Amino acid sequence: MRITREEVLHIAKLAELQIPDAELERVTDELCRICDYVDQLNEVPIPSQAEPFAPGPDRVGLREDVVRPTRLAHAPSAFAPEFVDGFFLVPKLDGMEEE
Amino acid sequence: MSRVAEIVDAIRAGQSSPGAMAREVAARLALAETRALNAVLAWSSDALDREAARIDGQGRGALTGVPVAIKDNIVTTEQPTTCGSKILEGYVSPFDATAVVRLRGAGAMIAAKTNLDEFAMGSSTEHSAFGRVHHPLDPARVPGGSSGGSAAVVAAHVVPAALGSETGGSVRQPASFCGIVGVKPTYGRVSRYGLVAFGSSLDCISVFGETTDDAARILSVISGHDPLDATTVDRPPTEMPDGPASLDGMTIGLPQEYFPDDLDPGVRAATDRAVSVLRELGAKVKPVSLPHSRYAVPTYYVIAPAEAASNLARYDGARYGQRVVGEGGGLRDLYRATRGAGFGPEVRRRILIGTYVLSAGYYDAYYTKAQQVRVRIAQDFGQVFGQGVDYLFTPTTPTPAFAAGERTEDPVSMYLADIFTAAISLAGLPAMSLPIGRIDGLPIGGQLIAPAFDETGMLAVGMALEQAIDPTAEALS
Repeated sequence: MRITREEVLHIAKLAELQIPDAELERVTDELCRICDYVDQLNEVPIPSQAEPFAPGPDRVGLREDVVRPTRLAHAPSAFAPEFVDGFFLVPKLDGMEEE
Repeated sequence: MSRVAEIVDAIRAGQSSPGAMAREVAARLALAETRALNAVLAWSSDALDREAARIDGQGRGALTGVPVAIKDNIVTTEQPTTCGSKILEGYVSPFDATAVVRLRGAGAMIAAKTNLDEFAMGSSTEHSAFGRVHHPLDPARVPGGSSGGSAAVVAAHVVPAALGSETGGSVRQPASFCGIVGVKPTYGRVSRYGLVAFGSSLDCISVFGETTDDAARILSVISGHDPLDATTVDRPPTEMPDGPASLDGMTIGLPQEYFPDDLDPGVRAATDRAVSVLRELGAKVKPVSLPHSRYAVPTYYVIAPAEAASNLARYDGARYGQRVVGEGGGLRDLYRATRGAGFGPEVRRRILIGTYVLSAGYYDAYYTKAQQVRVRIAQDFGQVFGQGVDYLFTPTTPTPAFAAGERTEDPVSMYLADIFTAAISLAGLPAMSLPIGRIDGLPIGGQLIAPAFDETGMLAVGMALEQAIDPTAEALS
């Protein structure tokens, strides 16, 4: 199938990824080739009631819901781009409100 | 005897010490640097000395003084964890992965953090932001991936064992290329706590060793239930095998789909010889069929990118890692600029594919379909193991290590490097690769596949095959 440049730009927007204009054609072509490859899954007949597969334990064992102190080797201020008074700082939300 | 056992015994007997091991490993790591393997992203003599002092201060354990390298997508508090990505360059985790905590608790020495395909996405370790890893036997070739750095340091005898991670074959495939042992446990056998998430329904911390015994000793320490990972299974750790298994009366299945007509002649010759050895050891060998395995790679390349697109949403420049402020200066500009600049081409490609197959209008056609085919793939294994087959044997890879640059321009051809490993990952089963011969000096791996949670039995069969076969013999001579 053919994925268009416009679709790639839309997907990139959903994925919050900036794609340079110079790479757009190559990326579009690669996504088309990958989708053509995975389209062979349509050869497999599947009953409509097929259950999804989940590896791992039959049931998730929940631990006791108790608040415990979290011992961190490094404080968030050591690895966050900007961290002040217990808060992670980010730019204003202007751009998000416009969309 | 295994190298891991030799080190533990020498320290226990007073013939060596953690300090001496630290100095020896530092010398080996320095030598590896001069060989320009580019397999290691972080190590220092000071850190090794601190590890030795810590081990001196604790009681003797199953791995006292054993140096272990750690793939750089498994978090450690003492070294940075980059995942081979610019977006995490310089990041140091505030906690250790459970597997690392258990290794240290058993007396192991964290020797180095190793290079990898960015966020473990790749089959050649050419997709690292910090340069490609070179094959220890031929620098023009790739070591496999994505755990290529860990495989290379074990194959180059820098350390006797290392941790890697598997999502679709990222330990077995490089183990095969580098001529060492790689063991992927059952999904849920080893805690994923502290393994940077890629494909959460597939990811498994896995083990490299110079020998099966080396890998088994590491796996027996890191496996077992962990309350910090709800997908670990409530079972005791994997037991060490008593020794090589007797194969008398055992049935080994050969799935015909893993021996296609166009299989590399050298790989075919090596696997044929290994099958003969299995027969000579008393096993009954019979052909079986896993008909949906041919769909494993396309299924994997829907499910893994879908999970990756979700998992990698956390790299947004807000809480940790690198930050790039976009042109508009707003929050969304920050997200897009940080992620656009921080992720490499293969990671961007997989995030886009994953977002596409999860998007409205395509979800059922791709994601739901792939999940349904995954059921069929898992059922195939269940049926074969339910019909009296104890273990399966296949080649690990369709070719020996390929040349660097040979597949980087064609993502689908790169994905096909996982053609014999992806189905097992999708089914959540344990499997291992062990060296069974060479072609023109390049190692070939054979793959043993076991029913869920039968790692111990699989390792014992691996030991029997390892003992009976010359892994350095040319397959076509």
